[in-house]
Amino acid sequence: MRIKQPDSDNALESLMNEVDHAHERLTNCVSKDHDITAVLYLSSLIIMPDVVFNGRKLLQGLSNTISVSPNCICVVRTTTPTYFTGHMRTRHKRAVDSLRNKCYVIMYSKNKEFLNHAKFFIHYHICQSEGNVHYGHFYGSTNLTQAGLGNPRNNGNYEEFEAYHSIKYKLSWSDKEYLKEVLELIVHKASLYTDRRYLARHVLDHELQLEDLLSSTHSSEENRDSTLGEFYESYVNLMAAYSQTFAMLDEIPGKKITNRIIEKLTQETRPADPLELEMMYIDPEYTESAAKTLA
Amino acid sequence: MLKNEYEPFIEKISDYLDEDEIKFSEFLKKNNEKHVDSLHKIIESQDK
Repeated sequence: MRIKQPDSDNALESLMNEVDHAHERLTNCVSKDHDITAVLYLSSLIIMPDVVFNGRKLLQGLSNTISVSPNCICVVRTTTPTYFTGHMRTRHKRAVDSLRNKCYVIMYSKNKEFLNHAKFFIHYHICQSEGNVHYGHFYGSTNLTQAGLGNPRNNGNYEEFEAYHSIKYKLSWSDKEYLKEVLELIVHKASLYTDRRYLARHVLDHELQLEDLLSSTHSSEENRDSTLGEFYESYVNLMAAYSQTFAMLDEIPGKKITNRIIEKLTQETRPADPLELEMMYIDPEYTESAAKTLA
Repeated sequence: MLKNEYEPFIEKISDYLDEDEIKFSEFLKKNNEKHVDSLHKIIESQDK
């Protein structure tokens, strides 16, 4: 693990190196007409469009790598821009939109994942012709922002990161877990676009979750024995479900409809700040004292 | 809102895609089957 000091851009340099490494391997094998599959798996809470190292944009480097071969699978896992406000929303949306047409962009999990905090870039280059796997990763506490990764005007973040690449001849258990996750995500994302019954079921599942939550909230309201802690839990769960509805709407196809619904919903109430909401999730034992603190 | 404003359009959802979604749809038609097959083969062969 390495430290990125505020005045250093060593994290951005390492991440760019990993992207370049993936690009070089792909270009090399494509030029020799090898039988290859490449996987780029990127995860970040927020992504900014103009992260630059030595005059080169990070997202452009990623796009260039994807465009080398149709056998390159790119999965991006991040937060819906709708959760954010102001410049953060505008710029995160620009970054995400630039990836939407060539990557499997994932923003909502049926497993009720609350917020995607995992920050990593993992790449696999599996060459059947050479019988090997080029693997690399960048793990860090940093988001894909200039201050997080680099040194904008000597005013960057203090972060930690790790970067590594190597050649393997056999995938490990954890490699296979990553690849199984990638497989599951790309099947899910593609099914939303190609299988109407799957899409309908996905939307219905979310509606049923909302209905269950509303009905249990009404029961607590009507039950005079409900504790302050139970009201607190209902309040947090309703805010989380409302927020997750925006993520779901951003992920399903049909932006000409979903953008209209998002606009209507945000006119009524904006989704809660996801970081504030994250802090409100606590052990049920302490919900009553949390409610008193808020009151 | 989902029930009234999204569900009725699911059957014809391809008529409501924006430009990026249309490109992604084309990308899926060309590549998704191969992506899924390749990953299946890699995971299965490594499992043996």
